[in-house]
Amino acid sequence: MIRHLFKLIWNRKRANALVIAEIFVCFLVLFAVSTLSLYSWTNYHRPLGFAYENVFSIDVQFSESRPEASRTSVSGPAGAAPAPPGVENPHESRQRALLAVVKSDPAVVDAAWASPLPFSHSNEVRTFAFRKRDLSYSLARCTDEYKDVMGIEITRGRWFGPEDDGGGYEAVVITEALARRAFGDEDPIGQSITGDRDLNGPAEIERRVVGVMRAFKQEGEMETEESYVLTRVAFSAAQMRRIGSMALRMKPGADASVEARLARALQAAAPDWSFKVEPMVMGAELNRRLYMAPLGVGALVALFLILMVALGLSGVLWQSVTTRIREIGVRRAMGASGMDVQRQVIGELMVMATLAMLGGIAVVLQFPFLDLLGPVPKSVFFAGLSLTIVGLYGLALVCGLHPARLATTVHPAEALRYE
Amino acid sequence: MLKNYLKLSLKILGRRKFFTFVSLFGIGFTLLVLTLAAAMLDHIFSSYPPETRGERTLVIDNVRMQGKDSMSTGPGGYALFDRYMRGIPQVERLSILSQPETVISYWKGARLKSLIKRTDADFFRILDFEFVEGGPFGEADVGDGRFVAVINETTRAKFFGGAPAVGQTIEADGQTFKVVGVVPDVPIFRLMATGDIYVPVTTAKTDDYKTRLRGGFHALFLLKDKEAVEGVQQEFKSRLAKVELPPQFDRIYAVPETFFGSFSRLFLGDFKSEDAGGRMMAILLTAAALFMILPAVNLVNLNVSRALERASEIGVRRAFGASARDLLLQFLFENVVISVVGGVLALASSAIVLALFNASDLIPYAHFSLNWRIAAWGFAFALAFGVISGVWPAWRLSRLTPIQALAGGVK
Repeated sequence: MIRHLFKLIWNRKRANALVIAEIFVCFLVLFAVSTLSLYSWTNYHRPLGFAYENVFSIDVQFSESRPEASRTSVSGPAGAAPAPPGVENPHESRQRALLAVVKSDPAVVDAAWASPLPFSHSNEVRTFAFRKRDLSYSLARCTDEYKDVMGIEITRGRWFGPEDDGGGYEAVVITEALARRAFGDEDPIGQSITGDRDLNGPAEIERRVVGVMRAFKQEGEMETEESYVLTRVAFSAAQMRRIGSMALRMKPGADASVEARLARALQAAAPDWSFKVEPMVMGAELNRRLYMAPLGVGALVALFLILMVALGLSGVLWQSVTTRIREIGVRRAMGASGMDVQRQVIGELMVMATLAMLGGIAVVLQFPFLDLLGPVPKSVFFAGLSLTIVGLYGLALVCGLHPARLATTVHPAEALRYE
Repeated sequence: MLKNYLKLSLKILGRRKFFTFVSLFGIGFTLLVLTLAAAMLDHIFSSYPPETRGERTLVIDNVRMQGKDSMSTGPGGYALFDRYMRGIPQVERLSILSQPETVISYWKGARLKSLIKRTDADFFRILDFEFVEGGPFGEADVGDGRFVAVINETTRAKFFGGAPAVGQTIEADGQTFKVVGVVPDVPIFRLMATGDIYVPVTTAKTDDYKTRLRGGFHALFLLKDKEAVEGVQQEFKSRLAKVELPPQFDRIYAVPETFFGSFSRLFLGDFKSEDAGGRMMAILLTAAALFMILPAVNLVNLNVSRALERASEIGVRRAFGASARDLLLQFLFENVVISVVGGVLALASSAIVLALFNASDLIPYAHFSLNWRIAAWGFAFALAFGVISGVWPAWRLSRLTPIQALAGGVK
């Protein structure tokens, strides 16, 4: 039966090659859409790691009293050059005072200095050789109150605190995902997560893992990168001078009037600095929209493309049924039932869809083989692939049904007379 | 001759409604997406008021400083333009303007978010704002650091409910400004001109910006005439060589060019080549061509499968001496006609989609609309699509021998 279908397809190879080509391209489009949506969906359902409701973020812009021409960009390793040790923090007293100002507000439960904050669209990425493998993670620095402000859940070890003072290391808390990537099954607590000592570059201060948190998806639910490090920073440390934002846990119901009060109090304490107070939910909402808008537009376009293909394919099949009306007539006259004819039309289409999909699968399989998947896990890739295969067979079936039914209505006598 | 082809192709359009619908749906949708993309890019990168002198205005959007181990990319610094770039011979005016920055005002119990732009008096001379009320601030205001502001209509509505605002005061980021003028809204993606509140650069809380080579500022150059572009770029390059860089950097790149060129440079991360805009254009057109593949294959399939309908016509024409080339051109022409019809439909529906988009307020102050430039792009896309999707079926049809065709057979 199948062999016979192949022969029939081969007999009309030119027209069929085009149909196969079309299904092939359609496969690629469908694959891209289903894998991306599946990927977003699984990301969305992973834990966020913190709670941003009832949190205010305050963005602080310092004015530097001395000219500092060497401000590097915030993102990328270039901006991550550590300040030379021994440089004191010129903002120390002010940063302490401002924290006291916000903590004294009756609507504030707790507050911390931290940077970059969630939804701030800035990150400091470290990439280096770690135990002779490549490792990269995003890094944020914060003061000790940050855990309670953001509601961070510690799964192993402990959160850092005053007991880490003066140890000659930086205490850090890392995400479970990073612990797995860096240490595998080993216990990460007490280990260093600083890069292998590079003979050329300057040695970094040791970052010692004191605890592990469930997750920390800085840019919100849709965030893909989960290797995240929170580093303890002391007010006197040189790095503290670059921490330009605060996070505030508020009592429920804090509104614009509370924001205004905070902004006024801060402005009075530091008249030459700028302050921007914003509820963190606004940033979360914006990020959701920034992520969903292109995905939505892409999905809509792809949907229309597939609808177009569906219409086109059923048109082509319909046409081919009318051209092959004599062939069908002969089959009917020889005793084939309507069902048999219907099976033949759909069977041919399915064989063509299979051929096209084999080509498509051969192409997309290059992604995992050549390591081009990027952050997409293999499981999502293969789930997307299976979804595409099922979807495309479904699509072919839908396109074939109407023309196939049409073919069954051909009456043998009429068909044979047809010119 | 062409008239006959045209008549014929319109006849065929009316012949089988289902197929016409499927073809037009495919063509129309494809061209709609491309036209929408063209319209949006046009609104982002071409000249629209207040940028009425676009052809002789150059911008510096981003600069890059590079050293052995560090690199710093982003908006330029005030000092770079103020100290080194004043008085270029072919430049009529130079304006230094900050990137739009978010500020928050607490006004009568509400929280208002605005974009503030700190700039100079020449900003209002290079850009052609049609003042709704009042006028711009001038050199004296900037020189003395007076707290005056030009606001846009939306800001006026937010603060004063649309009532006249000149002479009133507004609060932003803890500072109080007296309103001197009101201008129409400028869409947020027109990075140079956009803003809710425009104030003199000297009202910044500190003078830090005056010493920076990188960070926070763009420059607008109004040339004496548009032929001067290359001269200005040369002069700019030689001046950049004299900039005193901080020790960790040894090179600085910046090119005064069109906003599109500047954007492309940042997008491609290419600060060295002369013409990043050309590369960007090639990438965009390739993307458009890739997008056309699936719809084109779809249409080819439909057309090939309908070959039989035309068999007797082809047979008669061949028998009466029409060459294969004649037929090829005829079928190609038909396909292009159908594509252009689809293009017109796409243009009409894109007007509706753009209007809906403007009403949705997804992008603040966006007022996308169609114009002749976009229509020309739409026509070009329709032609390209018509040819791409028409060549193969036309070639197939034209190859039929008269006997084959008259016998009604195509395998």
